[in-house]
Amino acid sequence: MTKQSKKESQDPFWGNVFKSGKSDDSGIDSKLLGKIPIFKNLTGRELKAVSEILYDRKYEAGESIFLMNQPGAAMFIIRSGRVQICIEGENEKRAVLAELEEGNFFGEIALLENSPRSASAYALTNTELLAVFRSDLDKLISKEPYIAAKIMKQLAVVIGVRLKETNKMLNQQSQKDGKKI
Amino acid sequence: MDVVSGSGLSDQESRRKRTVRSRIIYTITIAGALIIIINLLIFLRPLLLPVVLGILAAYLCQPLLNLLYRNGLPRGVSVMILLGGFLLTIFMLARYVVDLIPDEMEQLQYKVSVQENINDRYQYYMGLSEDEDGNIIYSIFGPELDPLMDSANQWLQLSPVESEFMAQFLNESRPQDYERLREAYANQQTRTLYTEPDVLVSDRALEISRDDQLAETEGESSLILSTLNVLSIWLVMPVMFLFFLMDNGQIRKGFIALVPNNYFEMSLTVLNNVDRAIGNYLRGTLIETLLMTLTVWILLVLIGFDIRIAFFLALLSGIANIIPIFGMFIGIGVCVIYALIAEDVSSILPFVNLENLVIWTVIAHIIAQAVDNAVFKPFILGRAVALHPITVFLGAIAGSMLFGFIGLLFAIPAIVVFKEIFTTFFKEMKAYFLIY
Repeated sequence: MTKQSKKESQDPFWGNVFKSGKSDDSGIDSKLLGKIPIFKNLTGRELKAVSEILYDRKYEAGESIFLMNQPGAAMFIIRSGRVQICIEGENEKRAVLAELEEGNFFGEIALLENSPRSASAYALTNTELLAVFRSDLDKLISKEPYIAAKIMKQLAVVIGVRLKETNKMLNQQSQKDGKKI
Repeated sequence: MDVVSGSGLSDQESRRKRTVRSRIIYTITIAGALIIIINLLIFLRPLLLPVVLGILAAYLCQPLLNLLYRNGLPRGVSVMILLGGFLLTIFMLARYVVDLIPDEMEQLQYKVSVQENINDRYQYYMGLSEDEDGNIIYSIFGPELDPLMDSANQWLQLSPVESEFMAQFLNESRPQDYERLREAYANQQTRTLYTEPDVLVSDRALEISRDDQLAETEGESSLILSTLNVLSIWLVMPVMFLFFLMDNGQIRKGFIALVPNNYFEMSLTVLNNVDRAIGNYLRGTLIETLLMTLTVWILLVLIGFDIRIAFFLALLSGIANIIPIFGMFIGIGVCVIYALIAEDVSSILPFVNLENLVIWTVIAHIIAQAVDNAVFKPFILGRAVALHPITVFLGAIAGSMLFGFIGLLFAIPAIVVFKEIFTTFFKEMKAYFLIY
């Protein structure tokens, strides 16, 4: 961790207010964005348009990003750090679903519909995230439909892949339990 | 084991201290910022209207900007086109208003004609013409209305210098011209007070004008300075329009950057919902104002108003209509005043004449209001302005007390905006489990 990012991560509030040049530099954001599956087919200009609707947020280790059953309004991309996705059980017990790291994204369903979050997300370490807000994406659809169509297609692909993986896991679990689906 | 639990405790303690420190700092910062903002608002009050109008115009032009951008124009070019359109509209409106302002001689002619007309109409409606002593309306309202008419007559009476100018003008013009003006001018010289039939209006007006003369001469010297001052203040409007149209979400991002993580998603949702609701309301209000202006304009032209004057009066009525309840009366009041002083009427409807023009003006407004309530409001605004009448009443009074007519005009939109902000804010706070 560099000196600058360490200093910022210690103070998320002022870090958000006085951002370093890095977070506003769309070139660097575009580079990271280009690696993310839903944005991978976008050109440099299109990535710049997307980077304009991104919000840079900093979370401390242990801080909640969103909670299960809260309304979902944004998708998050991990710029640095690690994030735990879990289901909240009774007596404050949590069932961990996944641990995500730099370049991964989560909460993508919020971009498609206004339904409650199906799981909670917590920062495992000091984490920097980029957030995409649903209504900003909707505005992008009306302003730049060509870009939005590319994003939506990739989003459908990613959700499809994740659904297949879930089915596979469910199948494996069922076989373990001696049942066949 | 002891070391681990000890470090856990100190970590918890450090977090707790940090939370308390953060709360203190945020509270002091927000309180300080609020004090500065309120003081700035009071100190820069004259700038408030141009700033608000500039921002409002930019906000209303946002869909147009998106349309131009979607059709392939670069953002900078789209902004420049809209700025050009905005400046052109202001220029045209200013020219239209300047054209309507009469020169000195025309003002004198208006004063004489208006005095003649309102006295004619007053005497006609009160049954005071020639041998009559007044009808039943006069017997009820006469004692209240007579002093009002006397005040109006004194205000409209030409001063000796103005009277000299008018006499010279009439002498120099051909005898067959300005027949009605000559008659009105002659009547003005012999007009007596309603409350004191033995006293000439010109004598009483002379006493008042002597008192006012000193104040008037002082006022004239600072006229140019005050005009320049007003112009420089209004230059802020296109600047604000340009800045807010150029903004590509940076203001919103700057605001969101200040929001703690817990409130991040909720703040974005609130901003979005408020933006959508207010946008719908303001755009709806603008469309309603334009449609009302058009409706009133058509109706006033139908009953015989001059087409240019009718547009100005219709525009005033359309704008005043933004104010629920009061707006209708302001619109009717302004048009009725014109109907009272109108020189002639040229309606395509045979039954409309100068005598009943006031009644037809009121009927025209009632029709326009009926169309507004039955068609425009339900289809354009929906339930966006569902405010309690008491809120409307108190808001309009508070607005007019604070900022005069402009305050009256903007009070209801401001209340709608704040209502939307607070209701959405609390709704989303509950949805995000932040409050019960």
